[in-house]
Amino acid sequence: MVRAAVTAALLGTAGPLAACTWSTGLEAGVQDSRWRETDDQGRTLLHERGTLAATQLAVEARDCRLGEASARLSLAGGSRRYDGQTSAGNALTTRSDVREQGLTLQVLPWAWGAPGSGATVHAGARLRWQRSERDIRSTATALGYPERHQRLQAALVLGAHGSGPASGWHWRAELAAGGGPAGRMEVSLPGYDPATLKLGSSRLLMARLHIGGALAPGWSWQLAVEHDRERRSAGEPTALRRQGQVVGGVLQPASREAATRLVAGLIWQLGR
Amino acid sequence: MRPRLATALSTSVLAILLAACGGGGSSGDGSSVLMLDAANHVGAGQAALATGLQFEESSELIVGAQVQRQDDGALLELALDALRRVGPALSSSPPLATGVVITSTVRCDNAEGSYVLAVDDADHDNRFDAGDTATFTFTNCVLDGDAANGKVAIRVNALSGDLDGSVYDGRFTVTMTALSLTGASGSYTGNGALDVDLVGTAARTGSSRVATSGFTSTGRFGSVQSTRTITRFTVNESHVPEGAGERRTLRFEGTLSSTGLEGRSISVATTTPFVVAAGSLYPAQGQAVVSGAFGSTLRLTAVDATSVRFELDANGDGQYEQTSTRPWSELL
Repeated sequence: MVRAAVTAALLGTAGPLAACTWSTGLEAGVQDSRWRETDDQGRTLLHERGTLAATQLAVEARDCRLGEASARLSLAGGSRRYDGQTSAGNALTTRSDVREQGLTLQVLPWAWGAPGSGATVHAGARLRWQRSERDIRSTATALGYPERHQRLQAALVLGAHGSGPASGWHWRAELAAGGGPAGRMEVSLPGYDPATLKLGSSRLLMARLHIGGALAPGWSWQLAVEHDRERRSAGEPTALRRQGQVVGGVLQPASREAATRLVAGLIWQLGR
Repeated sequence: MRPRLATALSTSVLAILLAACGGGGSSGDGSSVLMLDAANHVGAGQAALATGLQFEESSELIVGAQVQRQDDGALLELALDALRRVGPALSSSPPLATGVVITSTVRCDNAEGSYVLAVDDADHDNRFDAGDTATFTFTNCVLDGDAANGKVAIRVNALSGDLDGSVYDGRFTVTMTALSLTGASGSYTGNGALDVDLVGTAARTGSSRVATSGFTSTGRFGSVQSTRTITRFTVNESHVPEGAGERRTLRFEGTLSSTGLEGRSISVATTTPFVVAAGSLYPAQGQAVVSGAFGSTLRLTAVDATSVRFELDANGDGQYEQTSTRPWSELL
């Protein structure tokens, strides 16, 4: 009895998730990652670019009474080339090691057919929590340090899906735009007490397109390309201390981040 | 302060004195003097060492976050660097009976901001020498990325030789009036007079001395305001060639107070000069004693170029009951 209830709950045979078609997928691929920081005059302080390994685990519920819902866990890691400067203004090249973790919850309660195309259009909202770890490597002349930042963002989503381009294939496109309030960044500058900085607010634009096709009953393949752009304003100055003594200030400058992912994966449709 | 002058002043010294966290307060026991204890002695030691030992060669950070130090040494550096601008201004002006030359407004880096230079050529010889005073008034003058505001007056007490050469003897009084530097992460303002002596006797050989009866620096970083005062503080430095660099010897003593010391003061005195080898960031030898209220004492001893020993006598019985060793990199 209990087992039946749990199964029913999991498979969405009751409540707003009734009649959902559940699937889970695992994707892996590469991510072109770009990062730029600018000062209050708009001048570039540094830019970074590198290729990260990307993995995503998703659970999706479709054809529900109240539309669609999904949860996506994203992981990415690797290093980027750093072209920037030291605190003394000397040009410097090094690398930064980057690890990113994200969790995205999405609900698309509205759907309508696109006349003549056979496609279905969806609209809804997305909530994203993102945590980034960035370790700037030291060089022979200057010291790097670790940064840890977290942010919460929300976005409106417009999506469409349909069949094709080949028989048995399907496609899906999504565009999301939104932003978030000021996040937090923990920074451990060499020689200073650890500090928590208040970041600026963020704006983001995300696009995803994937195609897929059936492999076997219950199984399908998927190939996706994603592009995210995020712009964050400068944070607030924070006192910098040594052994508790105020010795200066620190601020996270305005930044722009762009990520382009190409991922491939397998989807398993539960109950098939 | 650029190359030669920097060497002359042996920056350590500048900064030393100025980069302080420090000063003010009576030298005797009482409420204005901080009683050193287990909870505050590390902060007090850091303040004392940062006041006495702040090196131009301190570690550079890679930019990610934008960092701005409350570096009072940079204010003095700004003033002394400005000295270079006086000679050309004087020599290009016709002799004036009044002995006063006022230049037109001069644009700063990238034409951002300006400063006005006024020179009192007391002996009317169109040279910046003993008895003359140069006054700079900065208005949002961007220099090395920071915006300078306020006034600094530099009086020449004695000057011989060439400050850009190896042999010279320059003695100046530098008076700052609300002289500030503002960057992305905050600003800090210096007020007070400093006597600065620069002596060069041969290539990479010389000494410097910075002394003040009172100098206050106020920093504002976000919502935090930090005030540091040094009183009757003196830093003496000498340098000699060592390999391709210079070996520096430093002594410092005086009183310092700051908001970080609960607004109270401590006194510091060097008992064994600090010696910094060429190419090294930190002293490998040297000892200073910090004195607080009711006989409390903190002894700071350079163990080597990477660490320093803290010995605390909180109850003033002459016994150091608490000892710890900390990396220089966490202090300077």
